[in-house]
Amino acid sequence: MYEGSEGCHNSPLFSRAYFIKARDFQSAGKASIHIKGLLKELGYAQSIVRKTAICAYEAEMNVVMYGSDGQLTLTIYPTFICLKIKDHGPGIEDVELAMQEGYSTAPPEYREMGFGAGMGLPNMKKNSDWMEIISGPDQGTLVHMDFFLDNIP
Amino acid sequence: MNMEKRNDFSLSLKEIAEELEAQVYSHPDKLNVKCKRVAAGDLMSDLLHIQQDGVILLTGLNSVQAARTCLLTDMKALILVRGKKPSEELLKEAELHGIPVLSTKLSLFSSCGRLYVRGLRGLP
Repeated sequence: MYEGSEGCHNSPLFSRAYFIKARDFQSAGKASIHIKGLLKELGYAQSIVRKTAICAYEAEMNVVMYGSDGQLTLTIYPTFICLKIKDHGPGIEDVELAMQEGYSTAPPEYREMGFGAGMGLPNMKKNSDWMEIISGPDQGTLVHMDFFLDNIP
Repeated sequence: MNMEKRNDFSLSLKEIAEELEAQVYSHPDKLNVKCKRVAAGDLMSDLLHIQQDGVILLTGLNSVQAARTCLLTDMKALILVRGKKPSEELLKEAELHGIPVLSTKLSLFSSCGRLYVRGLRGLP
């Protein structure tokens, strides 16, 4: 059984971390745009680039909305791309519930900005090939997603 | 129209702009781009599952996040409805990343209706 990149022996080709500032809506998405440009430049297939960028963006928005600053790390392995997003926010009390489409704790002002529809985590699950959330009350949240590469550049 | 033709159907951004009587705010050089599908809505998370090419976004969300959603999902253009003039941040982001931004005085409903009649469809 695949157990995520932790259990994998192939070594990373590239890694880069991005700082995400809580409540900074003007900057929210910039890390994802950078990641998209980088993957495109490295020659990865458009479908992989788009999936990774969408997941990075959703994760970034989650940290901006609910977290208390955080870090997004992109790591490229020969056979997959890994995104890890760690924040120091209040954490998710019930991960299973948060994974349900439409479930959201977002205040109305976040919805006015186009987010907080309760689709973020389900979208991330759909667009990644493997996803794990480690979280709990007052523990912050770690989201780990892997994207398998079909076409290795 | 058979299914194969339907899937290939597209309108140029210029034709869409004319149909919606829309004003172009950025990248008028890209009006010949082919648009195949329409995504409409104000909640970006509802749109962040797009895996198709040739999609345009119709939205009332006049913020930088609308431009970033377009960019990250490879959408071809951003059309603001109800006569909203794009915010400075949105326009700056769109200019920087090559996204055409248009604005129509029509509502979201009427805009979608007109494009549907012309043959465009939503996301499968």
